[in-house]
Amino acid sequence: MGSILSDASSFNARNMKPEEVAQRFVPNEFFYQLTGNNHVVLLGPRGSGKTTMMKMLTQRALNTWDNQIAIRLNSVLPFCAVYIPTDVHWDEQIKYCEEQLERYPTFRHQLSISLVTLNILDALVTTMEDRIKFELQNIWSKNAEEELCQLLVSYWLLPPTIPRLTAIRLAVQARFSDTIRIANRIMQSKTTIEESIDLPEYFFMDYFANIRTSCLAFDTIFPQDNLRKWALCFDELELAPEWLQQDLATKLRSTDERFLFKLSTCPFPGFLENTKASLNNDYDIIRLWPHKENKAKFFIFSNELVGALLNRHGIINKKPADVLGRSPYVQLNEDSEQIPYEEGSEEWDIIREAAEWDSSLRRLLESKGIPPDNPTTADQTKRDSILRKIKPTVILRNEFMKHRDGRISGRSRKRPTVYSGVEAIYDICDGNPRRLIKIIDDMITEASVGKEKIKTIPTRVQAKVLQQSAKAYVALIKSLPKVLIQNEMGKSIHLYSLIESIGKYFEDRIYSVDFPFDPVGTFIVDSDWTPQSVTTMLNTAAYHGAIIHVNPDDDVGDYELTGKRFRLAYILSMLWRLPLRLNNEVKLSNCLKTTLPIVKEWETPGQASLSLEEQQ
Amino acid sequence: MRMTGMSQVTLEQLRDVKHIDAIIAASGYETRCTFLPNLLSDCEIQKRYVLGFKDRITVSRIENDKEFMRLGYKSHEADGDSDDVIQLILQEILSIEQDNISIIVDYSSMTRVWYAAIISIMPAIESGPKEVNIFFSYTPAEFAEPETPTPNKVMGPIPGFCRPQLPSKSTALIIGLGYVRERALGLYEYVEAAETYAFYTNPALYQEFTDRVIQNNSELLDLLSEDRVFQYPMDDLMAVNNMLSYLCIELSDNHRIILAPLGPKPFILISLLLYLQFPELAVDIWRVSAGSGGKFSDRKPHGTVFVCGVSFSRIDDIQSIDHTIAESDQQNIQCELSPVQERLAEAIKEQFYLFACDWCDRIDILAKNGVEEASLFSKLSRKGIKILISSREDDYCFWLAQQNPIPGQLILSALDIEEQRLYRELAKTINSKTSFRLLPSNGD
Repeated sequence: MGSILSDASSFNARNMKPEEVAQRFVPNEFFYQLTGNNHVVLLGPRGSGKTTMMKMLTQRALNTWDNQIAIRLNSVLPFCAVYIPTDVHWDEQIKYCEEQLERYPTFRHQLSISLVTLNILDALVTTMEDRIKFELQNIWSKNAEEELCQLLVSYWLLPPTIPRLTAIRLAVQARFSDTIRIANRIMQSKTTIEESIDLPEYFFMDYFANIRTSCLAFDTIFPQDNLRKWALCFDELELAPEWLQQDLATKLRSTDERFLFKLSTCPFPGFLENTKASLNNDYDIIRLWPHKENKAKFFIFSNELVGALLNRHGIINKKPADVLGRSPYVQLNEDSEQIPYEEGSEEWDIIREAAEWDSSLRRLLESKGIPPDNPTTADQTKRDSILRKIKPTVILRNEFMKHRDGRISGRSRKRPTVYSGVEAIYDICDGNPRRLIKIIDDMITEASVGKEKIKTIPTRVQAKVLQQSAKAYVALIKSLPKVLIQNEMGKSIHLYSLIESIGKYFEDRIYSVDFPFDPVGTFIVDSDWTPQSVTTMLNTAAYHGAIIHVNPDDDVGDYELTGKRFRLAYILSMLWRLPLRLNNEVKLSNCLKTTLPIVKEWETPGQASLSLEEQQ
Repeated sequence: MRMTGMSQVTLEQLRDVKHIDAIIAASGYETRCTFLPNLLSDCEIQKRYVLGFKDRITVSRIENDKEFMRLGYKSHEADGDSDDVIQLILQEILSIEQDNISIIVDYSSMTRVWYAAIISIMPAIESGPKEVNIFFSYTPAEFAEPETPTPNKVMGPIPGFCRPQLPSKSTALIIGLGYVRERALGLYEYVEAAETYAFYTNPALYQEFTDRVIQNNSELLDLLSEDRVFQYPMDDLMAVNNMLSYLCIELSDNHRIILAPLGPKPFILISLLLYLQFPELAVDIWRVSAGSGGKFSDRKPHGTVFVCGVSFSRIDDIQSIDHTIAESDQQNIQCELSPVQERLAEAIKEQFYLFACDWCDRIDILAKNGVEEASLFSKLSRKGIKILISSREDDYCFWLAQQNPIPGQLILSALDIEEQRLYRELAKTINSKTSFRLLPSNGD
């Protein structure tokens, strides 16, 4: 087994050590922003590179990264990063403990704090070890380490422990086991009264107070000429307990100059809604998805990433555009001396040809004063506002509609080549490095079959891989758990059904009988219609990159979905033959009229009752 | 109580068990739920319990209830989501004043919550019988096409089967594939594990079942390389147990593990028992649940029965700590410190394992071999190997003893009176499940 759709987890930075991440890392402008001497909140869907960038801030990664930039960064980086991981597994374990201890709300909360604190302390010790190993080996001494460890034992209320950081880390892990043991005992007891639970002192430690004293101790015992700050890098905060999210939101206003906070989370982090910290004053935002303001940056980064991939595959000294070609909807004949949209140009040809069979296009051109048999104009404004505007729609209708005997109908294409070329591939990846790496790797593998070396990747191969990628993405979206809403009659709607409704709504308007001069391609989440259950689903969709916020304002700290404009991920656009562009907007309620006729009755179901499957 | 043994038992062997104290079955709408009770109707079974689902009362359910009544079963209405009733029943059975108790649990028509509860309760039993033997019996059904898939709603640890660990290690996901579409793929996508393994039954009782499993999990199977996919025989529970155990032990050094048995039921049972077999393994057993609803289609018995016999024994009282030095126990086998793997082989032969070195060297040597002390001690203790430690470093002994997370024998060899005094102090702080004795050392 193992096909062209190989295990995508191999590209997941979450499962890689920092030194492994560093071996493949291609920096971008967002990474450099992250290295600044400020608090940063990094927002992005899954696969957008948040964890990669966070891990690259660590000492281990920077010391492994074989690049001049790393050497420079190591000397100028104003902080030392403490990477604090979390993941779904950890999240579910904490939730499990909380559910089992529902009868003990105070203890439950204290337990959550204790477990998270231990995770943070574990990360801190690891960082201290790395700092000594990579940065401070010249001033390290056994006595100094012993002195530090004795202080840590005291601050963290650890039992007598060998005064080595390795042993401290093991002691923290042993403390974790003890904590779970206490929790298990209470879980199993049916008669314990909360007031009678006698907890060890270490349950009441404050994680930040511990970090402060411990880092001060470290800096005192290992003095450095250029004293660096400590950057606490909390990754995947959408999976952390709510109390931690809220606490970190307040910490963004922290005045302790020794510490920076780098937080990564989903595109719409609710916990930042009510923070008193001020965007641009107290913290900066980095949004890791392409929109109008940063699209060019993503193009540059994608080009560099693909360039590196091509090199790795032995395709040397070739630009991505040379190997993948240009996309038909961008520039049809760059090398030609022909001016676009002038008579005889490729654009002119395509529009003229389409107007021959598409009578609605003919009527449109005529109404705009452009002859359908010679679709050109000297008026630059008209050229831009009409011809340039209709071109993508014309290309798509040409590709996907057929005409016979005066009748126009849809045409299916197994491998539509309209979605090919470097621009289309980058657009389809929507700034997702993981997806881009996989697609390019698969294309090269497929194109190399039966050949020793390749110089270009044929359009049909690109189309095939992109289609497979879209199919796999749909399968994943369809299988996502916990994204269901249900009405009183028991009818359920999955997130995918919502997305499909939106896609089909746009599709119907692109391929309607009348040529759409102002096609719609984006939707606004109308605040007076969208129920909370749907908003929650859309939040999940944004987290998985299935919908993209098209016009975020990086100067505004607004983290709610309602009232915002979105498009479908371009990888999904292929399914409904949509153009890779924004187009006009429509209310979400219009798109979902048939799927959710009466919105009030649809709610997120409570704890699932057992399925028949479980009873079999 | 600790799980002390497990074996596959034939129906004939089950019928030959001289004295069964109780049988617990479940009455639902499936015809197969009365299959085993009928087969055992002439066996000497002291008490017969049946749990009846509170909901889904169908014609076949009423017939089944009548059948159970005819067979002399005492009925208890129960919520499929709750383990309250089954806990009460089990407590009633375990209150029988006997040293050994034998129970048959026919889990064919039980919910996972019910039979998981029986397994999860056992470690908490600290009084009553010294030994409990439970025969978990399963009657497979005739093949039926899978239901139309509905999206996953609940994904997470089964209550009683979660061992939280710090997220410093990545996650390995082991999925026992069922034949409902998209269930496993959704889980795979949700967890995003560093490594994923899949198990499915082949040969199964019906080839159609295996075919459906492969067909309905094709997207996931396409994502995994061949060495991550394992097939197991449906009728050999011990083979399943060995395969799963081996994989989990191998993965546990570098991963936290999620074991998600989506089906069939015997695989789920083995997964739950694995959790008890290896209390030191960082493994969670997950359930994946879809929405309620669907047809109530009858499941007729195939005609075979798979029985897994599990033994539980009460751990001897290990609270008392012997501070005295027994002259007759003056056995020290000293050997040169050498690579861990060679040492292990010798230790198994000699039944002792000795560390005698300065603590710094100790840690370095173990670190080079990639073995952490706690993990090593766990492995050794599991083999029943006693551990002797002789060290001049008090702190090290304190710390080492605290790293031993599982019940076992930890024998400390004190070098002098002062160290002996320290070790007595240690006794007050040590993990209460660890017993140890102080021995004089013969010196290094």
